[in-house]
Amino acid sequence: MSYSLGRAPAISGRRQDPLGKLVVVLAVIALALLLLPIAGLVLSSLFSDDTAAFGLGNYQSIIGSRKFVTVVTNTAILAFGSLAVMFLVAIPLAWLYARTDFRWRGAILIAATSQIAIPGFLVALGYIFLLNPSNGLVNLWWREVGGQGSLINVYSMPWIILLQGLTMVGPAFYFLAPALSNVDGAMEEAASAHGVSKFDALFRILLPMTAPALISTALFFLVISVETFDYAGMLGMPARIDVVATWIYQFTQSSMTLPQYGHASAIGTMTAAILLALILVQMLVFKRGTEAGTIGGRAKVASVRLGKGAQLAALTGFAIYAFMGIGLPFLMLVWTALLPVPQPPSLEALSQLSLTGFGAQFWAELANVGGTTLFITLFVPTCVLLFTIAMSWVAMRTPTLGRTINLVTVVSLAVPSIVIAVVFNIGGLAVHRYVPLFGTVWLLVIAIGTRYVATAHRITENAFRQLNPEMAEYARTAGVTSGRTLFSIAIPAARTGLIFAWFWVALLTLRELPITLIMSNYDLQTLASRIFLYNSSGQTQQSAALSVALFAIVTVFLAGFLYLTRRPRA
Amino acid sequence: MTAIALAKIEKRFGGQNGILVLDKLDLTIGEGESYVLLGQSGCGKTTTLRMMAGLEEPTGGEMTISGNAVYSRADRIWVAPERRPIGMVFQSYALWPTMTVMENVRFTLERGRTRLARAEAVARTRDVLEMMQIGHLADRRVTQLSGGQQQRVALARAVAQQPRILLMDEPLSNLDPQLRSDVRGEIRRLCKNLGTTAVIVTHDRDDALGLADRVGVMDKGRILQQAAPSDVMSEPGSLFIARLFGEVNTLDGHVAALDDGHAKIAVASQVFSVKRQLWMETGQTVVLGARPLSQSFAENGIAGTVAESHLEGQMRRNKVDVGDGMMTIYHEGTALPVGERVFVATRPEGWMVFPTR
Amino acid sequence: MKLDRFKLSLATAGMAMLAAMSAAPALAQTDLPEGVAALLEAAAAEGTVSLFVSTDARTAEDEVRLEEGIAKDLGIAIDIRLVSGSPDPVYIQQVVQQHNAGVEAPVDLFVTVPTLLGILNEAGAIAGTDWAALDANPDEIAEQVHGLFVAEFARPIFYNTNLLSAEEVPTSIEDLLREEWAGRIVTAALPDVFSPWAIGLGQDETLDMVETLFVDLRAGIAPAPTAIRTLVESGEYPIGFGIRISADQVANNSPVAYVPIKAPLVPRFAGVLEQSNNKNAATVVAWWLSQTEAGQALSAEVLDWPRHTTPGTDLFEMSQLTDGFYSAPAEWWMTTGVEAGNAIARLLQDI
Repeated sequence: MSYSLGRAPAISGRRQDPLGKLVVVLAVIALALLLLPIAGLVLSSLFSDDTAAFGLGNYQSIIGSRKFVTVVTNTAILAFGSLAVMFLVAIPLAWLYARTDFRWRGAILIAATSQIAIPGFLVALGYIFLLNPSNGLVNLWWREVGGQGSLINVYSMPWIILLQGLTMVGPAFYFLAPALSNVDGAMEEAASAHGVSKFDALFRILLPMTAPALISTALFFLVISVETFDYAGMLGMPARIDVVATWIYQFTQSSMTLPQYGHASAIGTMTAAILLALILVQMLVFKRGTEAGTIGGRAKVASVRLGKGAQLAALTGFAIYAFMGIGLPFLMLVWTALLPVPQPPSLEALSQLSLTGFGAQFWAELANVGGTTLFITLFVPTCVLLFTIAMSWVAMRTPTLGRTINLVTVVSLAVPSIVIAVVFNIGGLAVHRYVPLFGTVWLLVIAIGTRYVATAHRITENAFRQLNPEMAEYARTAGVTSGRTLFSIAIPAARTGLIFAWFWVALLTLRELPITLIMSNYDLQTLASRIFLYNSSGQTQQSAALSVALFAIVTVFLAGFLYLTRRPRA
Repeated sequence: MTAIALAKIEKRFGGQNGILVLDKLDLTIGEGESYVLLGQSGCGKTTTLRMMAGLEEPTGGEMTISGNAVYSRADRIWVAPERRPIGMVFQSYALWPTMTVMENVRFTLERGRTRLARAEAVARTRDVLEMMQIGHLADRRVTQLSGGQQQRVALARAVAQQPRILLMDEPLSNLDPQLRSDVRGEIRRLCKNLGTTAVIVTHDRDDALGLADRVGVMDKGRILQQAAPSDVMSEPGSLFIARLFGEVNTLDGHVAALDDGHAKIAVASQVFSVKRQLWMETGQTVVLGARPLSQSFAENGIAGTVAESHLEGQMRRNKVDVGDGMMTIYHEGTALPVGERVFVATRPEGWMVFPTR
Repeated sequence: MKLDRFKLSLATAGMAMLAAMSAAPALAQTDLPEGVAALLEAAAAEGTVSLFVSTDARTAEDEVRLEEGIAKDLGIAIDIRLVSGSPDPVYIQQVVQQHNAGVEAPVDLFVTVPTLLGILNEAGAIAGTDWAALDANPDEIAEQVHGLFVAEFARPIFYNTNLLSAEEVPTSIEDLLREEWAGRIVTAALPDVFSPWAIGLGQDETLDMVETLFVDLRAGIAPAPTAIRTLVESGEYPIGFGIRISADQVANNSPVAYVPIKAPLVPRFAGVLEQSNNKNAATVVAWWLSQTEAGQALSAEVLDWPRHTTPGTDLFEMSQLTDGFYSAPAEWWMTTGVEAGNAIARLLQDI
């Protein structure tokens, strides 16, 4: 044996780690980008809309408003209600996907993913046609068979809760499935060996074990459900159900006077404060968040076998979800694209079906916005991913900084998109003389990117946290630099989670609205902004046709994602 | 020469007033020595190892490696793990799952402290893999290996850089018992052949006995006793240490009389003669202990009744109720009926005495 | 002064194209007001005008139609760029910020309601264009904001013709506010939908109307004014309050028609931006949209910016039906209108 040890110098010299430094710089930039809109939010809430005086005037007028208690109550009901619906649907789906031998597991993944891509206002529109009290199809049928009044009223809190909850199932699935699949399968096998039913095993063993993941998922979607305008706007406003999202909207949507950003920001700041309090409570309760990893990765053997009856029941449940959450809205989209003006299904409407929505104008629009749309859809998620990787890596290496980073990212979720756009526009103008970013696609990229850093950070962080920390520690003891460890070891190992983060941000970027609209100009238009503008000028057919195109692009992305993260063959 | 020295090392978790995990720990390990830190989980042994690696920073004291300060609170010295001359094997092996066996070792050599050129790194990787008898697995993904093979890769990766100090955290705990014994022997041989200093953390007595030149027994952040494994085994400093090395049958008693070199220990109506220890005083209450292997059934001795008797390996393992408590006694032959009256005899040199706490 | 229609009809499309391509003064120019003619050369040299068209999608085809109209009437080639984006107030705030930062204006020409033009003007973002020098109709000049009247929109009431016959629909506001329409009217809860009614009804009566609509009649609230159209067309509500029937609905013979109740008009004025590099061209285009028959017609057709005096527009037809509209000068909008808007906003926040 010619090999011997102990030749290493006692203490090696310091090594240059340019990659590691770059990562820290990126993380700091990301943090600054997130803090900017938060600061903007707080600052603008402090300048009175009426007198421009600095103070708590906006807060006073919000809290003093007669609506205040109603709005807060409604918002709480909507937020917690839709969270309940989301969990009620997403947990069984995630369980079927992660723990059982359900035959349609692949379909669950596809359904959950494509649901992320369907614009909420179309879902709402579909249900209005179906369930509105005056001439919704269901109610028309009800009266035809002799019923009185209306059977179902879609303009009501239960339906808003149901539909909004359903919309969040797709993204929530991506948080829950990994959490559930990380639990050792022996848990259930032990349960079934002792005659404990599958459902008791799920509710009494599996869910309590994943409680920290469930609670942080709940917090994340709590913000989303408070922020979502689609259902509260289209179904709540007609019935005068005021929630925070519609309230903010009312303060920013006058067409003859300047928007009252101060009031909107005050509401946003209060929402952020409540959120912050909830996160702090969560941090106290669960000292260490035991988050779970990502979908895909190592193949796991199903730990719960479903009988024939259970397979059928699961399939039925899944089919109902898929139809309500994806099938119906998609049909609605296609239906609208084939009609000159939106209308409920009828013989007369059938006779008007045509492909004019997909004519020359459709293709001209695609050619016009295609370049920008594709560019931001590829570029934004790439930047966001780089930033969140840097943030997660720095957070892992410096836990104290990690807590700050996590706090800032979650709080940034509560900043309304419109505020982000305004803040970055002001920032862009301020530095315009030195860096001409204003009005360019670059500022748009920065603003949209900032919007989605929080979303991506959660996934990236989970993906990294799932890695065995000893892998990176070994690298340190072997003298591998931090940057090299990140790029050669951590990133390849967390690949599936990172691909998912990229993909999700790409999808969100594709359909992003308030920011693209505010930052758009003659030469800078995206597919989403054109869809909105067509809808706004009453050309719903063109709008829906372009939405179908959007859906087609999403399908391509979806296929790519499923291909990239496919399970290795056993 | 000293390979690694810890002086009054202190570690608190959670700030100045946090939990004290290591309390003014002094430890010196010589060059070429195999040192085992033995203790139960939570005793601070892994923290000690991680501080040697530089993965944890102490909160007080001094530490040197080969005479160079790597930590000093007073002089504000801190050397990061990247710069220390160490190789480490983790309990989980911490192999990089996206790389092959070859790549795991080669990446360490190319990108780690040694910074070898590609050709040299490949050549050395081949050498090390051959030495560890896993050369034929070079192109396998590490996820496709058995536990024992993964263990060898982890070891190969750790020694490839020719570190001065090899740190191992529970290196054998993920292996099944048979394999464990084999690998234990291999590690011992490897360390001795290469002449490296090794620090090994374990909670397993057999690991300690099989790997160590010297064992340090840890509890609550302190080293209770350190000596050659056989000495710790035969003359444990406390009942706690004795129990770390295997089962001990105990009786409560007191020192009845002391004379030159001997002590009389009274237990109920019986008196046992043992070697006198410095700390003994007449009248002091003590615990008298013996390992089951130094005890046997006899015509007379400590009286008791059989409570349980079953086969374990080649021997019968019996639980005997001696009034004061239970004793475990082994014998060869048929099972004893429960309730049978028996007497337990002890080889005189088998007695160990510890002061009652 | 208006262009002679007869002469216009003589001009062939081919001639117009020729004229558009040559820098030389074209035939029609001889009839232009002196002030306009004086600007043409500079305008042609600038060659392009960006025009803000709010949140409405416009296409390249729309731009070409306007360009052809301008070439035909004025004999110069102007590249028209129709810029759509966020709602007017949000966009205007951005324009003001850009103006303050000294950044080139995102558009050359802004057409919006008097209050918002006033905000731009106060910030110094509107160029002091002398519209009178272009022989513009003095009644259509809003001097205090340097604006020129281009178009108007209305806050009318319309109904679904499948659900209601012409005899059944209400014919006055009193009629509309009767109990029988409870739960059958849809509107939007924005002050701007109601404040124009103060022209005809006065502020107090308008507030009463809003209160009755929302509290007593439990009117449905659409998330945006445009959604009122869909909700009435689909038959979900028989009556819609506060938005015009869309051109698409007219083109598709949708089952919607105006209720014969006199409605208020909201004027839109054009202002040239101070920071524009194409001020001459922008001035000429604004003048053309506002003061020529062809400009008015194309403004209605292409941009959906009609005047109730232009035959063929829905507003013209409605004015026949309801015996005109309530309308007010720019001055009213900047003072009384704002007050009424604030009062209604306060009311809406409470009910």
